[in-house]
Amino acid sequence: MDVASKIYDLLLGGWSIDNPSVEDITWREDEFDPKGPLFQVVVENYPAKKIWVVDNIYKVEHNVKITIYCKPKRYDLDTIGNTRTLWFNMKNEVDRILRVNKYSVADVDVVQMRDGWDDRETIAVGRGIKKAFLGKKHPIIWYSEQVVTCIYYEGA
Amino acid sequence: MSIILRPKKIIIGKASNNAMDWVGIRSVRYKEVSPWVHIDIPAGVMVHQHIKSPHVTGEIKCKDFSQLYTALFETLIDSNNHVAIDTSNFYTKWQVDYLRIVVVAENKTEITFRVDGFKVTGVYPTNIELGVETEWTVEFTADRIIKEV
Repeated sequence: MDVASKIYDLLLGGWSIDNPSVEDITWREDEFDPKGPLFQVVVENYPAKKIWVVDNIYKVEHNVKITIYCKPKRYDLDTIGNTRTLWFNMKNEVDRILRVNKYSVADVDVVQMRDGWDDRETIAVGRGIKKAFLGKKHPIIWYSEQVVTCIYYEGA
Repeated sequence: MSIILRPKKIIIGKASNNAMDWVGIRSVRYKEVSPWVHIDIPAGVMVHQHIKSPHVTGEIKCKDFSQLYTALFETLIDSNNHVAIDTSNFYTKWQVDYLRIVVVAENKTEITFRVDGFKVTGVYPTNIELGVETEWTVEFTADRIIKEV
């Protein structure tokens, strides 16, 4: 089952804040879009893990990775500060949507939030670290990811 | 096929149209008590003697104290307007007229268990400790628990 698209629909449908609003964000499934403007949310599937329960029923633990990208327009401290506020707002909003919909995603029994956000090498203040694959000419992109586990039952 | 995954809520009150939803239940556990007591006769057959009344014992665990307090200490549960645990004079426990345990099976199918003769026998916190969420345990007895159709 394509759980990433269900999480994608959930985030898109449940977005309730204006800073940034749902139109300010580029929404993508599966792949980062290098042409995406200021903010981008990418939702992608990991392979599913299946555990046999009874008869032909399997419990499926399916991880979904939610990644938020952000490209500050300028690198002065005000822009950095303001963008960072929006960036934190986005993370909080994603967390809120996942929390209130823990049991109500279509066809998924539980959406388990796990370890929270991981910013990897990017840092949230100052100039950050350039992502290696983008090369030196490209602007800095902030990057934060979260993996959630969707649990559902197959074959019932 | 249904595999039960989690408790959803407990409905407690006077009747189906006069009851409150007690949510935030973390676990529900119960077991039937056998009425039969085995008596060993030396050098003879074992005799089953029916001396205990058949009933169910169980416990409910939750973390939200205000929900628990509203459900057990404030919600009216019979035609005489008693509450499940009446602390006005003594610590009196009354039998609940209407109690249902709603659980969720896979694919969000809800199953309702009807609990007849629900009566609280004890309420206690498992531990109150600095920095740890306290878990409240409600022990109860009942006459029977069946699936409501």
